[in-house]
Amino acid sequence: MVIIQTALYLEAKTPIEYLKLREAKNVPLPVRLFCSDDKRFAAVVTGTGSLNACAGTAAALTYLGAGRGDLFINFGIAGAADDCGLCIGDIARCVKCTAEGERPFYPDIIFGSRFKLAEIETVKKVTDISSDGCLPKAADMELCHAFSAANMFLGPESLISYKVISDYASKTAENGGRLDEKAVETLVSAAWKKLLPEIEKVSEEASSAFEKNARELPSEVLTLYENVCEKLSLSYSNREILKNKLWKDCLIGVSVKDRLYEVLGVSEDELPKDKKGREAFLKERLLCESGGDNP
Amino acid sequence: MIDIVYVEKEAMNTPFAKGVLEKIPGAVTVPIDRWEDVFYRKKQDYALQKKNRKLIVGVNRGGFVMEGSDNCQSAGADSFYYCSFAKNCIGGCDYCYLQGMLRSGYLLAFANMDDCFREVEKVLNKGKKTLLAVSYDNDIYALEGLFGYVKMWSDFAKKQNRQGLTIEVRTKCGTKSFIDRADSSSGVLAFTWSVSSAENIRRFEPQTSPLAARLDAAAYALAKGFRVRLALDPAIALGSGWKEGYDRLCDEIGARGIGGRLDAVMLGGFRIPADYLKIMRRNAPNSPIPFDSYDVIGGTACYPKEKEIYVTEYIAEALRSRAGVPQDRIFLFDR
Repeated sequence: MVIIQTALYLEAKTPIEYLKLREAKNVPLPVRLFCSDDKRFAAVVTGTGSLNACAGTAAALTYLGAGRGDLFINFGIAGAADDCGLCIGDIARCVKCTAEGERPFYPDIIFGSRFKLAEIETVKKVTDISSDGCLPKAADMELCHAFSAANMFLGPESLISYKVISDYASKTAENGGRLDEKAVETLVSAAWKKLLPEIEKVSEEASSAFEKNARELPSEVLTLYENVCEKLSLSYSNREILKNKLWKDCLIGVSVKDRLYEVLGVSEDELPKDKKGREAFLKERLLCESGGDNP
Repeated sequence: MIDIVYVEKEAMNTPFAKGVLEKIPGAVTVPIDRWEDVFYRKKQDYALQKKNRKLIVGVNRGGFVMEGSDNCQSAGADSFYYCSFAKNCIGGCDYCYLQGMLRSGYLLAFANMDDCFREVEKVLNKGKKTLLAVSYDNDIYALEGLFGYVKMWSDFAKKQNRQGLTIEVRTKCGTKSFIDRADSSSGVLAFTWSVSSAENIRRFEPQTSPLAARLDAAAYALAKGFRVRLALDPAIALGSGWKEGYDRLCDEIGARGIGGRLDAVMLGGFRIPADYLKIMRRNAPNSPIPFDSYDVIGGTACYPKEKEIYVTEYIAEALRSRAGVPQDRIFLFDR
């Protein structure tokens, strides 16, 4: 599942409409939650400020049962530091997230395009920030705490933040170059037009990467394995040992089905009755090496 | 291709960091306070990070030198140390212990090598016949073009006038030109090529050099006057055909006429701390190696004794008879 988190409804409106997300009613959450019917996408609107971001993210991810393979995408408007290479309307992707009194957090940049990589500093109120010269920098009011909460569920490869620059977090710029609400809405909507295909891409790349890391016995072997475990009343540890052995044999191209069928064909009378006897039977019939090159 | 380099602010202006950044001009530099903030993040995906490589340049404020692990062999040395100034490598070997030991798959390189050499100097005074392994947690030889660590160790070795000292650089890289950057005159620096059967290399050692390139590089280093070792450690005996694979490996060594000129050949069955093995099964679920049958003895997962003896003795015999390695140069790992 791809979980989009924003502070304001205005920031989530475009993906909610485009992805046809429906608001979840009667859910025990302190945030607004929107989900697609196929459960591939969700949007959570947490409210502004670090506390709302942290508590809202934690609550939503718990409710959604977020875990490995899911993606958390923070989106919002941000103010850029002076002369840091970010202009109003630019989309920045966070590579470093800081906040006063907090350890910096570095989301992995693995899936999707880089856009302009930037440091995002989470601040309590819009103030003067300055870039250290290495990275473009912008300020928001939630990211660091949203990431802290999301990292309890997901790894840094699954935490992504895109910011659209809506003003300059600077005392020197007149009114920080701030835009009115209508202009911000237009800016956000335009940013999402670029981001929606990006999010599809990120989602596909992540699914493919996480799928490759899945260990799954072929279905027929899995059924045979489960039947053998039941027949031999195997303990948890012996089940694991057998599963590892079968998985290894599948990977090196050794046929395992015949041996499993043979064991399933042994009559109850022929099976050893005690635990030790069954362990020995397991070792002899299924755990022994079958390559011929082993002692 | 490294696209992001995290650099500790304290290391940013060191010649090491500047040199590295110059060699990766397209990479984005991300200044960081401490390397641990990136390397020790929660819930990292080691395998994914290995495939999407980034580099961290940091300053090591802890120790560089540690006593050699009981799971490694010292090839007859009285004292055995290993020195860790870079972590992770560009290879992706299925059996590598790093994937069980380290939280991050990103390359980590320390910039304060002067501190490292000072610490090594103190340790070296203690031992007589001493082995200092400098590339267990990495393959510095393969990354010589980026970091230049081999040249640094060669310069350090040149200043050492100690009999019985071996500074071992272990690698799976077949590039010969890096040998030319080192100096063999001290007799202290030894290159060890980690080798296995060509089939094992193809199946279990992605992103490393092929066997022939490694053996050619070893022959080249010998011709340049270096002490050269081979490590057939871990020996991987999986499924059928492993014997023929190791026979062919020994034939290849013999065909190059280097068997009798090797400083040492280290040989041992696959073994790994049992805790690391659990993590490997999670991180590398498509490799058969973590799922092979092992005994756990004293916290270490290893081949059952009978199999270990059978495998190592078989290969040792092939080393003697096919590769022409003298018996006294073959060191078997003994647990």
